[in-house]
Amino acid sequence: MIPHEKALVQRMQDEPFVLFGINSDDADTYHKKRDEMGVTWPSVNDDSVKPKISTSWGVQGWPTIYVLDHKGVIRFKNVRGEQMDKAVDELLAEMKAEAGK
Amino acid sequence: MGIRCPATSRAADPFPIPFTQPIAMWITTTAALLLGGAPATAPLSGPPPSLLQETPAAPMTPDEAQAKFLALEDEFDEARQAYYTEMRAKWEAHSEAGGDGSTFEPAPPIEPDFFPRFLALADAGVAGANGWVLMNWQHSGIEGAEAREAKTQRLLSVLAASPDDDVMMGLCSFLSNEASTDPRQNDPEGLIGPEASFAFLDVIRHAAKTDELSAYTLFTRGSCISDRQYYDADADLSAANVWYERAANEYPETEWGSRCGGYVFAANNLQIGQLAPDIVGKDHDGNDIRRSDFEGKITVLDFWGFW
Repeated sequence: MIPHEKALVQRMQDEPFVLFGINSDDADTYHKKRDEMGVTWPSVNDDSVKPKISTSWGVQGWPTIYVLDHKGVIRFKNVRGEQMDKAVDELLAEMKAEAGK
Repeated sequence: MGIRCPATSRAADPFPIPFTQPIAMWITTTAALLLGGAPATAPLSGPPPSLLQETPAAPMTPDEAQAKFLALEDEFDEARQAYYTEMRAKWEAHSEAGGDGSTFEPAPPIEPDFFPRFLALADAGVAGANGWVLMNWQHSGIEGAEAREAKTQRLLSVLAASPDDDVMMGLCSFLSNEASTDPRQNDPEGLIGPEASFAFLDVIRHAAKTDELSAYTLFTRGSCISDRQYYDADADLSAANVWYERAANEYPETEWGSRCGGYVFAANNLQIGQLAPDIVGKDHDGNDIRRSDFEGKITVLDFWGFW
């Protein structure tokens, strides 16, 4: 999972894009492994929030993914791997087409 | 918590249960026993008939039987962990060699070896062991109507023993499987069926000693509906939310109540086309960080972990 996310973040580094992580490990594991694995994107450790964001959002399995357009509207749910890349590309193209009008 | 009157609560249930007569009688009797605080040693119709050929040799005191059960449970957990570790390694070797799922042969399951040992303790009156037997019933060798009756009797005897929440929660999972209408089930004839299973869940909720268990029974009731998505693409899952809402509203302080609250929140606020709610938390350095800090950008929200 993480290598794929890294690749996506790298490919999108000059685009209006953000990967926002909600990490569900306990705080210690999160802080230790975050550096080890080179997680550079903004992330919240769910352990630091009460009640947990994953609980408030009814997350039932990991990973759970939402893709939002630039207006903050939920456009895709639970797309993974290539599907996630495609969803992001599609929204980016849409955003650029809108801006170009 | 106070014990609510089953009749009143049932009237408020969105899905009134059309009882079949014999089940209705069992339920009523059990509920009365449980609500009145039945002595732990009061099975309704004698102990369930044993599936063993031989009866256990020496009689055990309840404490001894319970201790044996806990030791057996540890032994089983360890064996199961070893089994999965072994199968994972076998699978990795198999797929490295170019094999796929269709050619993979896992080792035979460990449950059949454990079944008679748990069964002996179940028959000695250990509620937890009876729960284990119920959840691993496919290894009993008993199917069809006979299985349905044997499972029902065992269930009643566990309920009458008024066991701790963890055993009761196991029974809830067992009942959610018994309520399944999945046509791919191994032995559909042997299932207790949705109507009786839902009635048992009601009994467990009304007799629950903790709010956590009550909330869990409501969650289970909803999950019986949500689970239809796995075998029926056209199933209407919205009715599940009625149960999740009840769990969230009636037991807001419990873990399962707040989880159910999340399911309702997701159904109402996290659908495609809706504006995503904000997320606020702490970043790696302990500073506040919000999803809305990145407004104007295409955003992937990723609930993830390192495992």
